[in-house]
Amino acid sequence: MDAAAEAQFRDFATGSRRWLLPVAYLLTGDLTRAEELTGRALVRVYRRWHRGVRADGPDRCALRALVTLHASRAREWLARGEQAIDRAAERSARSAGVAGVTPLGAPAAADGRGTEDQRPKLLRAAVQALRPRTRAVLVMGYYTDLPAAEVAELLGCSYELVRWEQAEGLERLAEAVDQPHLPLARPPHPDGDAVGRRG
Amino acid sequence: MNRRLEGELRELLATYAASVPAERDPYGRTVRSIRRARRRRSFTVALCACLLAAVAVPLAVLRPGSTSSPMAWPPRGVLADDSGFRAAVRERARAWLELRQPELRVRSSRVVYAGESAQRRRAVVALSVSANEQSPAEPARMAGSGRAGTPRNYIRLALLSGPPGAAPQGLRYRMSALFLPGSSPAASERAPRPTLRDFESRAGRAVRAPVPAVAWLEPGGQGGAQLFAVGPPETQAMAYSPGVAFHPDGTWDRSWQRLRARTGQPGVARRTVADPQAATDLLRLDLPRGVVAVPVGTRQAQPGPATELASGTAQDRSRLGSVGSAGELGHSGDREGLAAALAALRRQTGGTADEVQTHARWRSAPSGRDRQYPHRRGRPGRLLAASLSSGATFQVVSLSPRDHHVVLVPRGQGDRPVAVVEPDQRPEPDGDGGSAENPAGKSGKKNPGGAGGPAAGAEQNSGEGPGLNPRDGEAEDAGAYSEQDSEELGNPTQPCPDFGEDPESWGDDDHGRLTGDEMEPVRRIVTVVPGHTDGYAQLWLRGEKLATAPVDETERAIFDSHVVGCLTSHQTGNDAAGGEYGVSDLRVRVIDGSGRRIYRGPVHDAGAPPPWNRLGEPPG
Repeated sequence: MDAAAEAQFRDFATGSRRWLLPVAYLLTGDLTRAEELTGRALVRVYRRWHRGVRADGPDRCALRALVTLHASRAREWLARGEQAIDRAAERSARSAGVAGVTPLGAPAAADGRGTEDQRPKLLRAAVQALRPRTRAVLVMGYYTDLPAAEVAELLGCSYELVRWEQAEGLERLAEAVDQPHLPLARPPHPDGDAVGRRG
Repeated sequence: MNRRLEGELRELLATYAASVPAERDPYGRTVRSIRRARRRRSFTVALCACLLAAVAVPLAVLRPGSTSSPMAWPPRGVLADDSGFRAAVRERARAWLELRQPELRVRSSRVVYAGESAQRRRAVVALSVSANEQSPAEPARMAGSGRAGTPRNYIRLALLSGPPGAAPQGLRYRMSALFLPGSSPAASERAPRPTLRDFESRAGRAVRAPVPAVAWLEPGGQGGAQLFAVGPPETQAMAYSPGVAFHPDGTWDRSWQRLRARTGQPGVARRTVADPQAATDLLRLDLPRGVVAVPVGTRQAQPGPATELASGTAQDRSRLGSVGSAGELGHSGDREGLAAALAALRRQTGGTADEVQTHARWRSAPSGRDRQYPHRRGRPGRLLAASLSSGATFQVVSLSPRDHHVVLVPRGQGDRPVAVVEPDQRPEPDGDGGSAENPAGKSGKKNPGGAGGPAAGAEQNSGEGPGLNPRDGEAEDAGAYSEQDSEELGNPTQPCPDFGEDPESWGDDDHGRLTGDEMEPVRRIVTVVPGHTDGYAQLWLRGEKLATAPVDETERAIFDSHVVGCLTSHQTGNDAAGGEYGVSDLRVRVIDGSGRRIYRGPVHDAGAPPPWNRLGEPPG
């Protein structure tokens, strides 16, 4: 890489520190993993810098690298300890109930809904419990404000699947917030992923 | 509600994203990460390259035919730095080869070894040879090499040796080895337990080395021989096989002994081997251990009861296969055991096991070219086939005095040995040829030479004293010969049932295979091998050197034919030509490997050159 390109990448990396790491944090829910993902994504962008990354848009390239790395790394994390992460999310939600309003799995109010104070913590725990791709769809849609078509292009899947993931994710979040007495579970996946079917 | 949830989600994500601290130096971290990855990649590549080099380079170096051409070997030995000595040795080797085979042209030569031990001074000269179009190329003698055609350019390695301190002119040519570029004269046997059928095609490899190497056996030591091997300097290991052993299941293998390079020179090994067959050039030809008498079957001059029985007995060859299992007959560790095994076999085959035809031949059939150069035939071992009146056939594979002898039933249910004679208890043929009921010397006589009067021969020879090989004049050889020969010459001999006294009367039929009543002479096979001294050949009887005969201009015939013969009679006495030689009348019937009679008559007649003839040409 020549000096000019090096300088351009330096500017890009410096500028990306304000948005790339937060996105990674929202995807992973863990700052350490977020930093790892960010570093890898920047390395990938750096290596492709001279191959048209600048023309394609380094932001888009970095975001795609981040999502792709998150998908692959999420599988490794799942194999190594995703259950623990899920339990941590559950514990977080449960602790939210204990500390604030209602323990997870117990009705908080007469109508079975969580209190208003509990909603942010329940929502966060529910986001953490989502499947990685569902979580990625929601983060891309509601944090980066990307349209579903671009999210589908970033994730390398179809538009319909993104829409389905988005709807499914919102449904799960709504269930978690409105019915905190039910255990957090993953929705069925149209591709056949039967992990975590409620019940 | 959904709108509310989406708003809450958007707010939640923004809140948590805002709580993430900004990375301080993402660029520096990225660059450091890339550099670490590059270092790891470079290290991995270097490691793989080292591993590849560690594996591939030795393979490439040691691959036969790559750097192992003798013309590229460096001179080794304590005398290798003496340029004058090297030049003289080269010239001597060149002169010897061109004198012996004028059709060859030595293009270049190189001394690959010039050294001296306590017993011998040796030099090995590599000669790059070209054969002209008229001369058949010599490498065809590399039996078993599997190479088609006869290359015209090849390399000969000549060994010259002499007593310690000998001048180059005092070194005598001993023997030479052919070296085909790109081939190993010592191909290894891949199958650990090859079958006997494999043996037919691949036996005889006596030296195994990971790289091409050549070896010579010279008499010396305490009744043994000095094995001297030279290979490329990168040679890692050599192994020497003293013989072949057969197993009851019909397989065979060799035992190998590692040759340690005690010479201090890479690729040069020297070892004393207890092998009285040392005079043979078996190693350089990759041949098995010479030719010995074979205790096979029975010889019946007159039809006996067994034959009479056979005339009225139905042939049941299927029984032979069942009989021919080693489990039933077992091993015969001695002569009596072999005879008993054969007798049992005879009984179980309906008493028809008298021998009606026997022929001795080399395993590979001679071709037209081989008739001219019979030594080029593949000779994995001596084979005697004894056809029985029942129609069954025995085969007896015999390799050397040090090897096992095996009696086979090849056409039963596969090649199965029915009797194995251990090498140390190998039966000695009877002087009187045994009898019909005692084909293998059931009498158990331990008379090594038979009944022909060994004492007389020994006394005669001892009266002459040592020095049967006076032309050699080397302390080691003279000592080795004199002690042995006094006994070896004592081996009695019986006149062969001959073909007729007058060779002129030999008909064409006489040149065919030996018949049953000629079996006994074959039992006392005399092997004529190239002598260790110029102009002499040696006669070996059952692995023991019987005599040394001058060969002069007929040297080549003997060298080429590698004949075997039957000693008819011999006397020792002063040679009228100057007393150099102790055998004055040695009559030999010479039979080549295919059973063809070559010559019958005196080997050496005082004052006249021995009338050796080429194969198939009775002396006129």
